[in-house]
Amino acid sequence: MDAKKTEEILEFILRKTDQGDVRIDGLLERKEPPITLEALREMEHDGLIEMKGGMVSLLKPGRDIATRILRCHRLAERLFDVLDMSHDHREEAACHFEHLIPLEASEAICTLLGHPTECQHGKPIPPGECCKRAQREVQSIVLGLADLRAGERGKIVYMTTKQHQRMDKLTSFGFFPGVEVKVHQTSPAYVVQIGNTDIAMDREVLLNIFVRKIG
Amino acid sequence: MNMKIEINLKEKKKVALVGTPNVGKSVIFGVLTGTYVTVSNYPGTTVEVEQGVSRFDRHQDVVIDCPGVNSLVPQSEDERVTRDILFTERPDVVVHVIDAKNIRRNLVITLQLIEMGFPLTLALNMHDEAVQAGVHIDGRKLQGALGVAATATVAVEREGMPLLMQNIRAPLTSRLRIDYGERIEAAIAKIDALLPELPVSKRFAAVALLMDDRTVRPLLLKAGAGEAALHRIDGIVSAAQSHFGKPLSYVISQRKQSVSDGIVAAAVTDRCVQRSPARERIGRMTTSRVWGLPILFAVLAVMYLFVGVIGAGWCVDFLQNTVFGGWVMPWCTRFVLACVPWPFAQDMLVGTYAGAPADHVGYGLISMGVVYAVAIVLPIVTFFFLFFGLLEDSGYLPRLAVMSNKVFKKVGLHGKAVLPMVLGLGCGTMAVMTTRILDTRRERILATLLLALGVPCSAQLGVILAMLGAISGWALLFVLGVVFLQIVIVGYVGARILPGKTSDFVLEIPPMRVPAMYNIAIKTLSRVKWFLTEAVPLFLIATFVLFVIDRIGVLARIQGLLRPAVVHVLGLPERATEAFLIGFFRRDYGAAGLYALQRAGELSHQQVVVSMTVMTLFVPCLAMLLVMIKEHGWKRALTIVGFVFPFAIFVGGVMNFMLRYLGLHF
Repeated sequence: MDAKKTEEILEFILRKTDQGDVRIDGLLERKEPPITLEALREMEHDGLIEMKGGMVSLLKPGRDIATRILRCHRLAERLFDVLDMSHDHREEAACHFEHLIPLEASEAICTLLGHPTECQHGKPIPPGECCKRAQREVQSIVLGLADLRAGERGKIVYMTTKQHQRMDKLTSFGFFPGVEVKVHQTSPAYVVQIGNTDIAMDREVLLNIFVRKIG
Repeated sequence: MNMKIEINLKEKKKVALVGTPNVGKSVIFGVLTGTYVTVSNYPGTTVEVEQGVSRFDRHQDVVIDCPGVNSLVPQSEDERVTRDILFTERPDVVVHVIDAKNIRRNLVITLQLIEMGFPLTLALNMHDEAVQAGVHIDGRKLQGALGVAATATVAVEREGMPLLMQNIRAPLTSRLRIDYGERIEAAIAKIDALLPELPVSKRFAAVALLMDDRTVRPLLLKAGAGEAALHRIDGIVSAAQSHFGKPLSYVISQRKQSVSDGIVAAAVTDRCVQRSPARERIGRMTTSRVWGLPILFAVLAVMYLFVGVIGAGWCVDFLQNTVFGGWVMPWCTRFVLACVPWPFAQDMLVGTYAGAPADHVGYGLISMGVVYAVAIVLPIVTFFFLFFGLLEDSGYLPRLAVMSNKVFKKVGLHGKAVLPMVLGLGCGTMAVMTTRILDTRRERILATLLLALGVPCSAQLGVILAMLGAISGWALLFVLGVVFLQIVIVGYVGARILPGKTSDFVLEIPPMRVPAMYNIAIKTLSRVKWFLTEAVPLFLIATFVLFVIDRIGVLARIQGLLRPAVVHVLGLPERATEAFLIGFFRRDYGAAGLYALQRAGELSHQQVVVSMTVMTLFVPCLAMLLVMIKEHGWKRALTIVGFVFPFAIFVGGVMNFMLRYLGLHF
């Protein structure tokens, strides 16, 4: 069995695991691409998964691979979003992408995107080594608007859109990717200038906006 | 004859003013109709929708001033009111008032109005500020791109108004149509086919539905859409959504913004001039960590001096003692006793009658109602409204919201709640109406509860300042401290009991402006007028009811019922019972009753402290109660009152015993 197919199946099991127990017969019903009992046996033999009582669970090596692939998939989605690729091809492209990018490249992309924590569907992106390192030392190219200090300016790169109401409020004030903002103060509340308007807001709201620092 | 009337009716148009908060909509409304409404820097001051009749030509159009909106896909009650007006009132012309220096953001609303299909004209207001900020708008290019007329105006100085009026008479319906892309357009077409005839374009409704705007549903049902059709539309919306990673509302907004950006790029040059640096620096200082609080306290101190010392002290003294005590009342009493023959009527008017016993205490309409209203409450309210006007027009109020955000967060609200709260220091009734600017029902209820519980209105506050000021600053701080503590405790607990979450704090901070005295004067006048027509009749009714129940002996009985609570729990003299009773009609009126008791030397310092605290926490006045019922319904309003009443007595009782037990003196 080729590596790509193994990765596919492991990723699929990981996604299912997040939703609850994974049954073997449930997996075998999958059509696209089909999962066979032989494939699962082979993976069990390789020490990637464990099958017990009709259930499948990921073992450490299998989980590591699955997490890496899922991370690459969601990073790819985020990247395509920033690149403004057409929606129809994103999912398909992300599925190819996830198997191709080497670890180093995925870390570079993650850093470029400011170590995002969720994909644009609002699903969590598993953190990589680079994210942990970034938290300690490195300042990424894209940062949260809340991380700018008073007096600093930034250009919005993307916004996370999990909470519709918050998003609608922000867009009605003109917050969109590509727009320049300046942080005037961070306490007692944040004051952000957008165009010729000053807007006061809570830190939580700013956490949804990611910018590239200017100047 | 008949023909003529028909033509006139036909020519009578409905004109709706729409725009973001703080763009000077109300000033334009004032110029168009001649009736000035409050103009302010704070989002939401014109919550009540104002209507007027135009005076700029002979047509007598109806002009509607809609509440400020940041979007016509509503997120707050205000925005919903505006959208609903546009939907149901079917204006013949919409005037979109734009903040010229922020045209990029404002144009998105213009595009929404165009989408609605209204004949439209634009007012590029505060054009002077835009010029100062280096924003130049090419009117011809803008008109070409939008397909509607745009007039540069400076409404406060009446600049550009004649041209705007001309354009209102000849509005254009734009043909501009935003292309949302194949998938969304297909969905719009499908939804379109399922919608009934609407007062606005179906396209607008379809886009709103795609943006997951739930508030548009009731309007559609009213217009005759069936549940089945709406259900099918839901299917179309979620099918369309599945093609996009981002919520459709975001995709659609982004599309509108990029169209607007295109127009701005073609028609507007922004030289990014530094805004007036001194003004800007002052503006920033008012919310900075270092200067914010000192400035806040300075503002409060000035407010105390202005409203408390000058208004409640000097003016009340002068009016009550010199004007009424020395001149009006003796003259009135003599006149009534001489000209009105019946003792009953004499008593009703001036609280005394020929041959009355020396200790008779009357509830005369003039001696009590008019004196309290005009001599005590009116000056205080006037001074408060003057000061509040200054706060509004200078742009300080939203900054106050920034400074107080953290405190309000503790009680389940956020900085935006500062407007109803500060306004509550003026008039609780007005304040409860303004709670509508808050985004969720939960916040509106919390704010109303706190207003009903602990925020004293200006008249009451004035009396409190005067009474406690006469004792010592400590007494004043003590009472205010206790009341503040109760607000925080009740708010904290309330925020945890009421379901739901606090909405996000996102608030526009307008530039600091030097207020125009003329506007403040007019605004204060219209508020005082509101007070006189709204509150003074209630004063008189309250006095009259008191007079009647006193005469038929019911007052004595109610006082008998309340006496144990007032005398034993609160440790106050019997006469205070009646002040609390009146307090229900107007809180300030009740406080004024206590003031009279103190001046007559019937209250000890301790008693003043206790009675003031209870009066502040006590029931809302009648007018406020009515507004609470109107805003929140019987059940919620009565629940709030049912809590506040015993709670006030409880706190007062605890205070009374503590003061006595500890032997605290002021």
